[in-house]
Amino acid sequence: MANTSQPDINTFVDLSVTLTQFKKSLLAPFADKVNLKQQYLDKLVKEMGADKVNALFQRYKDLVAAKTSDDAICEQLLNSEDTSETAGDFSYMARNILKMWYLGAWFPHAQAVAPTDVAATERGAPSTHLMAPKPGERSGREEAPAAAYQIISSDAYVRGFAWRAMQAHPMGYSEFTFGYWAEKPPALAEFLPPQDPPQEQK
Amino acid sequence: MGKHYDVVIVGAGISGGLLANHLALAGKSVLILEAGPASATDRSDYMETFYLSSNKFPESPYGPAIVNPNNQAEVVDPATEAAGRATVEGLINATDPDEPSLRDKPYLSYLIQKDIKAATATTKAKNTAFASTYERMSGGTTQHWLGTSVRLFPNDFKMKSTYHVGADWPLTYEELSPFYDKSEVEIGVAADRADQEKLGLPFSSGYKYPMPGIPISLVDEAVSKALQRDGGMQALGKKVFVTPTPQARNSIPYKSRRVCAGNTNCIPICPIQAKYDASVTINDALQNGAEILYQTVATNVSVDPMTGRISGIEYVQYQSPTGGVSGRGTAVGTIYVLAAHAIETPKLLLLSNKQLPKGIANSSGKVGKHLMDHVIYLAWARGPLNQPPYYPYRGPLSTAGVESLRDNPFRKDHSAFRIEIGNEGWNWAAGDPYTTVLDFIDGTNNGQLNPSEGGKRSKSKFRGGLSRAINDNLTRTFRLGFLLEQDPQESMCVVPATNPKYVDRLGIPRPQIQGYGISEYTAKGFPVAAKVASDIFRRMGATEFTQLKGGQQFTLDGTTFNYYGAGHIMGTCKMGSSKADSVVDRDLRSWDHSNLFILGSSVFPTVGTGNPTLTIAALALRAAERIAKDLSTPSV
Amino acid sequence: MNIGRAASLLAVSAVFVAAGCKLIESETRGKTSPSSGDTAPANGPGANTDKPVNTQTLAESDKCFDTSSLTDADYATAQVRSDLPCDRGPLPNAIPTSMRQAPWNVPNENADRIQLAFNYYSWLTFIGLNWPVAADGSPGTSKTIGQEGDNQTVWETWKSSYEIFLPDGSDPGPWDTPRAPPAACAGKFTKGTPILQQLGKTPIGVVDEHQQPFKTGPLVDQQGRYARFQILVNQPMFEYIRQNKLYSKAAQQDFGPAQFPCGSNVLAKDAFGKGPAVSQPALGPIMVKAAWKLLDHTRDDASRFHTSNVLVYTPPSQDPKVEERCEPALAGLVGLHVVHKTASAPQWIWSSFEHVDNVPDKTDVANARFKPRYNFYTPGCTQCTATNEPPPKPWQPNQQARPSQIVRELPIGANDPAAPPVSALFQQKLRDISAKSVWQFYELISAQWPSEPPTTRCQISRIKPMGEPIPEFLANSTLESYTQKPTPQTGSSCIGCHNNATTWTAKHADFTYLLERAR
Repeated sequence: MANTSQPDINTFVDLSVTLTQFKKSLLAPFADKVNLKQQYLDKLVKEMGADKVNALFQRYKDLVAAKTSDDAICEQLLNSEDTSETAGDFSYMARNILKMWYLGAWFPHAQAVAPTDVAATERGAPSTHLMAPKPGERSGREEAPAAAYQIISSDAYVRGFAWRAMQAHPMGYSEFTFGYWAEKPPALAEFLPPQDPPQEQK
Repeated sequence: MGKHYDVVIVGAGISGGLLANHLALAGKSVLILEAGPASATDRSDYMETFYLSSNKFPESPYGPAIVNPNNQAEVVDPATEAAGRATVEGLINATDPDEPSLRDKPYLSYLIQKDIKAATATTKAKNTAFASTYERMSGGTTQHWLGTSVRLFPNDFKMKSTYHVGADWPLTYEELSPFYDKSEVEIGVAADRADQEKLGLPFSSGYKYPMPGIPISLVDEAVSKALQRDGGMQALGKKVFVTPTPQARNSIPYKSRRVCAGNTNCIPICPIQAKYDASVTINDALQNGAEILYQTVATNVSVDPMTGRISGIEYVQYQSPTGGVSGRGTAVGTIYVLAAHAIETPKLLLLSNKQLPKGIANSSGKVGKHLMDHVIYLAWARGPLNQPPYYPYRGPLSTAGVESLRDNPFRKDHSAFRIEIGNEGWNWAAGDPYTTVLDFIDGTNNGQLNPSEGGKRSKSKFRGGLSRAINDNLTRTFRLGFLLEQDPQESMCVVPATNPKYVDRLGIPRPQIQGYGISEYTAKGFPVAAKVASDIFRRMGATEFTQLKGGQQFTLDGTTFNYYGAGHIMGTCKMGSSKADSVVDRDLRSWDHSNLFILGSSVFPTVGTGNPTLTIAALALRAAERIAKDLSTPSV
Repeated sequence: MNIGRAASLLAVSAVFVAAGCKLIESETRGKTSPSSGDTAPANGPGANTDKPVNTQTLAESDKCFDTSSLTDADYATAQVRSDLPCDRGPLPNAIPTSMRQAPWNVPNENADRIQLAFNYYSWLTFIGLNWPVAADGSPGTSKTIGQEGDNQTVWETWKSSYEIFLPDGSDPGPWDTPRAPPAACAGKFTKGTPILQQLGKTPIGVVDEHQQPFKTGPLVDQQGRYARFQILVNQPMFEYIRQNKLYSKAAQQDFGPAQFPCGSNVLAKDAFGKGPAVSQPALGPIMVKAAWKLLDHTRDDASRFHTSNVLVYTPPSQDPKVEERCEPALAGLVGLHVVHKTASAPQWIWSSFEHVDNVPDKTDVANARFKPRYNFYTPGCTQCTATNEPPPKPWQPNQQARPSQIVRELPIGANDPAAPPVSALFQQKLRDISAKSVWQFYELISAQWPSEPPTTRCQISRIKPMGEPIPEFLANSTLESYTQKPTPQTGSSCIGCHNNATTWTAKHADFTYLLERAR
């Protein structure tokens, strides 16, 4: 029977840490007034329904309970060979969890890309299912988006980890001081402190 | 009848603002008519819209809304907007509305783009879309400009006599130079004179830029080093080297605005207004006593047929951005100035009073003709993975470029260009970081940095593998933008839309672009630019990823190129030395009406190789002196 | 807790906050995993005080009492107010040197409770700053705050920006150099009279009549007169500026980023009767921004304001044209930012107070729930500006102007539920001293503090220089009237905006725009 209870925020954070390998305090700071974790979980539930989210969380907890390594958990959720709808949902949700943390946005189902299309995109026909932003006053004619992606909030945009992964800052949100661009940035590990080493089994 | 003003100005952009402030300080009464709204005191609504826009286009932060905020895939129909403007969303839909073979909703473009038959299949490089956009609000298009404030080169003013191309300006660099000085002080330009002098630019003696130059980025540094290697790079008979760009953004506290914090967002909006925009000058003008009517669209320039002098500017007003006409009036003054940029100004003139056979200011027949832009060739690459990164996405969008090829002997054969080095990775080129991050997560390869594995879609990356892939690749990406000259072509023009269907919410015809395209002179610069780009990348050991995409294209000798608009809308009210073949004289005064002036880049006879804004400002300050003199002389 | 002991300690130390209220400093937040000692109960005053306090490495500090029995909802209720551990003695006259002296334990993982401690600290600071000033400029001991209704305060004797940054960039002289009036005020000036001239406190804080006075919107009261503003600094802040000659644009050329010293946050040993021998706590730099309304005897009730007899000076200007003027006036305090740099808050702690009658909250307007009158709002006003818009240009400070119509976008308590109860507690204490106390008419809007603790004492992070301020947005209706919307970068955030402050060589100015005033 479908579990439609409110999915657990702590499981969401644990799963997020597993997927990103970021230090937990990056995703769930001790004094979290902005509360992105809750914004993201709410979005996930709104898009997918509580039952699917609970199913994902249960799957995750089962894998943890079975002492599956973090890498293996990610492989199973993201790159499963299983073609069932459930496995597809798990992968879609896990990928969107990564996208929310990295880009502060939810990306609606992309058009299915058949294996034969892969070569075509490599040759350079731009994908049309995602309307990537085109800055500059000078954008070329691109296909209109089938469904625009959604930035979850301005707080989410300015805290996307993709920018930190580039040792930079979100475009339109710098906390740095004049001239910083002429100097090398601090190390990547300062921008993205990694997950704490696994604890000893209790 | 309302108040009689010394000067009535249409347009609250940089030209109108500088003029209004200059005259208000001199004690003249000034009225500005602005089609759009005031620039908000609290810029939070602009920033919030920007943050939440999935397409962060140059126009995204500003109004009227371009897309439905609740469904951003839905573009707002410009027919529902009181004072719309050309937008990138519009451009996406642009094609000849009478032959909508390419796009099914061409009416979603505010600019009506006629004569586009097919975007790709032209062999003669014409009949393509005009690719630049603008704003209608206080501050005008400087709200979303980059801030690049280069001067034109002396030869840019005499293309005809030097290279037998286009036309000569009725002004020289030397004549404009003191007004460049004043403009740089007024808007606040950060640059070092010595860097500019290396390019052969002469400066007034003792002149200093008002602020020290802005440090170049690590990306610029990497390009610069590579260009110096092995005796230095040569191209087009010139040395190729990097020059820091003069920029209208604060490098020290200046005029009560903050110092640039490198938000990497000059286009579309500097969140802290460290970048100059003309709403700053408009506010100064209002403080000094100028008056302004917002949401007031000029509809007709009236002439006294007896004297030939302009007698008034009729306007309509609206209350809400999607509302209809709420009021009408006529602004009356001694001198009239049109400063509504190169698309709305000729549209207004051509819509105006038909008492005169050729219309207002148009005895030459040149109003609306010679529409030009800088068209951009974009090239992008990723640095070698085993070499230190360039760390893009930091600093202003661009801090340096190659200026040394702007004037070269081959300019007689094909367009020259300046090269802008981007500090925003592949953001413009490929929609990064979104595209590549999504590629790594989804296993796609839209950005070309995530190739398939053995013919199969690559696996999703996660954990440290994902952040490392992002870091390895995106900290090494960068792009070069080549701004190529367009030569003046009489056939490329702006007219009021000929089909009565294409009006705005106020019932005013929208602008229509006709006969636009890439001339052979301009087109032939593209392969040259492409080769220079590839040579630079090779010197850096970088892998080039430039690829043909959707968007604006033309074909030259069997090779198809993408081009982008630079947002530099120029021409359409040509300045010249004879009444027969130009619209205004060297003082920007209409040949036909002694009390009518036209300001802005519409008067440019040729585009030169520099971004136009500083020249627009210098021309405005020069005209301001002329107008002040007129006003102190009893009969003009 | 041991009230008796606390009370007896008070007698010796006169440092109320230390009385049984030793608190952990904010830097311990977030440093511990859930299983660490952070959540273990501490027991009463003086517990753990044997452990040396290591301010250099920001080791976990001590706690004075156990809050583990309090629930999340408690702090916002009246019941908790009476449970506040340190509210039983008389109000202290000392300015707390750090959050360490805020009488509240800081449990892990709860921003609202930490906020409570900052609010408490903010009020103690407010009390100390507004304490009747002694001849040497310190909080005096002979009188209590507000015992005669109003009193001269400590912060008003500090150095105003005009006394530090002279038009010729010269040395302002030592701290005790007397205040000198502009020539236009000569004859009207008596020793020490405050000169009010600033016409606005912009979102960028650089408004200065010496350069460009009119870039931001002035605030106009309901009688059509411009509010006036002041920025003052305490002696530690002044000395750093003077020692490094930062009052001079030329001297700034050779100076790197500014780094004001943090105060010493250690506690006096005798406050606890035991513990390590440590030096006296020392105040770090504090700056104060004050907003004043010029009172109208016929319409304002001066007994509800802290007032000051001032000279209102409008300097002359050509661009734009403004006439010089200097007039005496009775000014009533309507807004007060207090900004304090401490070891755990190198982004400074930003406490913001207002007069209770300033403006209605947005929710008050929506529900038509109005006070009899406001300083900067009139219900149904037709003469006023549009809501939260500056008056139309040109702005002329010497002329009657269109009154401002200001509404608080973010109601007090909405982001910081702990602000109103702490204000209520202190307002009651002030009333207990004297029913006529003007200080009871002030309230805390909130206090903004950096939630990411520094890893090195008194140093901001290279990755997140702003340190994730909480609350994310904070606006004083008199000081940030026109930028109240909650959007990153443009909405009012004290730390966010001041992080952009630089010296004349575009180096980080350590969160103050004052250094841009150097000539």
